[in-house]
Amino acid sequence: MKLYRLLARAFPPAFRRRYEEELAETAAELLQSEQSRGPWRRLRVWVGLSVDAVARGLAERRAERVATAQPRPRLGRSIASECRHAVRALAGRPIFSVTIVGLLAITMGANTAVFSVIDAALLRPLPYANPERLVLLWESYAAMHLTTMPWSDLDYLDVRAATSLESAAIFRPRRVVLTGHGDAVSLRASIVEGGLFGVLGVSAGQGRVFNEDDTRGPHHDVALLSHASWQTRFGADPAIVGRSISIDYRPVTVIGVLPPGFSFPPPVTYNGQMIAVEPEIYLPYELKTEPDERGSHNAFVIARLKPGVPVQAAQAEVAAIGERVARQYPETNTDMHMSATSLHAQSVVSIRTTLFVLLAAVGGVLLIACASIANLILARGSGRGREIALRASLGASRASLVRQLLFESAMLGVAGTALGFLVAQWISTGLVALNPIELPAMFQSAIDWRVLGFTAALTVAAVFTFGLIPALQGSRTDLRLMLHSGARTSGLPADRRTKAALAVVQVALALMLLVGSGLALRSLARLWNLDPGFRPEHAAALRITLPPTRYDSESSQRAFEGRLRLRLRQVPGVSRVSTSTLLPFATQIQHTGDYMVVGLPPRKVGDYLIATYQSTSPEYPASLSLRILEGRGFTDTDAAGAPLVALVSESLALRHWPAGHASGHQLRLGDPDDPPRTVIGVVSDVRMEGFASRFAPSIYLPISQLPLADFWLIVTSPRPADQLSADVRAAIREIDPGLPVGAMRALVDVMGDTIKTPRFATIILSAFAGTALLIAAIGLYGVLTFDALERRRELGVRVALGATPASIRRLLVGRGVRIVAAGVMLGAVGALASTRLLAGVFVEVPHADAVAFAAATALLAVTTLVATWLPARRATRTDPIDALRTQ
Amino acid sequence: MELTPTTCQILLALADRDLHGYGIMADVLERTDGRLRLWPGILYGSLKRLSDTGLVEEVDPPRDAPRDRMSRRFYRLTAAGRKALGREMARLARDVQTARARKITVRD
Repeated sequence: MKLYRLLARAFPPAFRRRYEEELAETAAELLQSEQSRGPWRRLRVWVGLSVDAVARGLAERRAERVATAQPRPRLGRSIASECRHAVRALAGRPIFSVTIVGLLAITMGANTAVFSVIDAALLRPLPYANPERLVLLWESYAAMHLTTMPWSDLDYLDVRAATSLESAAIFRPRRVVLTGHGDAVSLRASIVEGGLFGVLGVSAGQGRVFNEDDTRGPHHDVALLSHASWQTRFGADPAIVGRSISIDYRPVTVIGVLPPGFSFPPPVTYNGQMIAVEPEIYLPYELKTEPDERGSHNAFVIARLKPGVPVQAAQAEVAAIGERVARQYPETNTDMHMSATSLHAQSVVSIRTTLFVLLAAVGGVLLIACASIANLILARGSGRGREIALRASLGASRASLVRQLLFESAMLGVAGTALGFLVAQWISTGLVALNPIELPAMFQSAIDWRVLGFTAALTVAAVFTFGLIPALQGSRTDLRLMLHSGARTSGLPADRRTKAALAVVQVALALMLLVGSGLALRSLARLWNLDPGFRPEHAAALRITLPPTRYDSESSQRAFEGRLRLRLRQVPGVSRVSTSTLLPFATQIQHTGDYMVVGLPPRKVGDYLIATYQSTSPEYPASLSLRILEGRGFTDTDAAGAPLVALVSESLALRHWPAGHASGHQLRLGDPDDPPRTVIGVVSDVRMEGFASRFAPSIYLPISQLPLADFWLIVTSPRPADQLSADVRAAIREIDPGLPVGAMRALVDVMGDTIKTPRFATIILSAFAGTALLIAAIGLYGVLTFDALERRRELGVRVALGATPASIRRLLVGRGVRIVAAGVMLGAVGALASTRLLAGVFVEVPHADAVAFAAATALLAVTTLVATWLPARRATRTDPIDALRTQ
Repeated sequence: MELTPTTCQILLALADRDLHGYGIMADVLERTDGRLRLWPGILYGSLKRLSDTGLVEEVDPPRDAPRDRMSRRFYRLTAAGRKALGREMARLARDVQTARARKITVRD
């Protein structure tokens, strides 16, 4: 019957007073009498009761209005006039209104933009069917510190038989050359097994996707285009399906175009770095099943779990298969493990922490802003006590006072939300344009309306809640008292305590953000100051990939490399030209393998010596300012037919020989059949994979003795990289006009890329911390200013009774200091607790770093004390007589 | 006050005995073979107008009524109500006669 009583509220109060009991009883009896006739009947009765209550309730209300002959208030007109009134009231205090609208807009905008990105990256499922059942399979090799390592085709064929997997497919990113559409261009390609699209549960946008037959057998001259490349490279040609295009100088037939938004592989974290391939073309994968291919690990594997099989079960089975394969093929697979991880976890693991830090920072600013808005409105509200009392005594009802304040709050909320939407759009456009953490296109997002709605609801709720307080207070307090002594009405102790508490919260949150950004800055500085082992100044690099169709032999690759270096020396301003198969700090798959030292006893199976191999030209150490610590570097005489030689890095040399005694020893790479290579010198150590990586033991080989189709061209010149780029391109075109050439990049920029994520986090955190500090300082200033104003009369009396300006200042500053001290203590505890979360983001600094804490506290203390001092000074400048008289 | 079919039915229900709200609803429902159900809102809205114009009056429950619900009010037709109902019935009777005279078959 509670429900019916709720319905009965449709009737006007007078009617309810007279008939509510009877209405309810009658309805109850009616329901009782229909009890036995089933639930549908009861439902019909309820529908009838509802319609009746609402229709008759409205009719009774109308009848009542007619009876009492009250003019019906015209809702439309009254809203318009209330709005006008509210706007006038707000315009009368522009600083207050603009501050609140600004706070609302900034908070909403920042929160919405950042949360939209987080939502897209972390919460939205990947664009494949049932993505929660997709797993990535990995091999790993503890001896090489390789936790995620590519698969060999034969190992893959063993693992795909796992019973917990419904299906699996192997794939590999590669670059291919597209010719016949203007200049030769290099395309990002995904080489995929035919079954892949079945595993993903994705079908073509046009034409068809690969099937198993496309990759079986010798004829696989077919290709699929991504939707984006179909549009940009092929002008959205409607007749593309069936057309022949030239890939790696061979004709292939386009059999389909993938749906928009589809991309495979999705961005994944590989050895700690986010790698997003976003292929433009998909080509069939040819499995290599000759027995000697088990040791060559080149490809990645995705699999779909059978329905209901948890990842852990698949992981256990895959690991067991790995152990079985290792026992079966000890030469290649000892110590090799196999594992499975969920695709989604793998795809965002490297940016997750950064995004959560951002979210925390935004949340902090959101809270500070809410506290600040609350404080401003409270302060203003208590200032309006008199106005409200006056209006009330002139006959304004409590309802109309509340309505007036509601409209003012609503005006602020509407303006703030509208502006907040613009700010959100602006920030998210900026985030996408700068794309500071290399967020893949798949994760980029437009503004999320739900998020904007949520943030708007939160902040506007703060406006409304605190906006109404004066009206409620005003109607509670004795009006006569308020009118007679405006001084006392506003300074209600509870009100002042609330304001002080809000200020304390703001100070505490600001300190937490400051500590966070301090840690970020310290970490970044330390990272950047770590010695990478080389000097990047004046060096620029360019990746060259020789298409295998035309450079299929070592001799052709060697010839190109030699001509390239010769030709580039003639480019004006170039001081050194070198080539290398690896470039420090560049995103690439490291060439890592095992080696043997000739003369040392053979090691037992599985106990390998591991090093990074790198083929370089003679001038490579000089271009990067590496030091030759012992012996000599390569020269042009270390050519193809000459005795085989090698350089080793310092850390590798010290592994086997005392310092200064490496030269003359011999190494073999990989298997025992490799010819011995004589160590001719030792080179200083280099960090290969970014500032945070270790010095990698390395073996350098002359590029003419072991050429590769894929290498870096490194040019040192005082000219900037972008100027050099055109000349270098022209020179390369002269040698081979069909070769796609990318842009030349300064090595400093390549290094900068590796700290993009921490740098971005630092900039954002600092910006947020600065905003927070500013808001908190303004908040504190506001509280103390209003405090001083409210106590003007009291201060005037004190001065009249002989208090000195200094003692008045002490009184006011003391209050500010107490607020700051409480805030700092609260904030320090909060910071200690929350920076633990940052441990993964900021390397090289402890999360309780004393310098960061001290600097943050000092900055906060200075700023807030200024905010405290100013109102105190102003208060003591007022003439006490004035102060007494104004009341 | 002008009598509507609804108020007419309420007055009819009260013609020979005092009833409470649900009693009126049940009586009307029965006499109209379930075609007219007076939902609580319309019932009490009508009773209010009938009371306000003095056609019905609120009375205490009769002695023999069940004592389970003490709060319940009964409604009784006033003399004015009886007169108004009589006039309305006479009007309806005249209309029925006119209809018959003009060859309208009066049936259910």
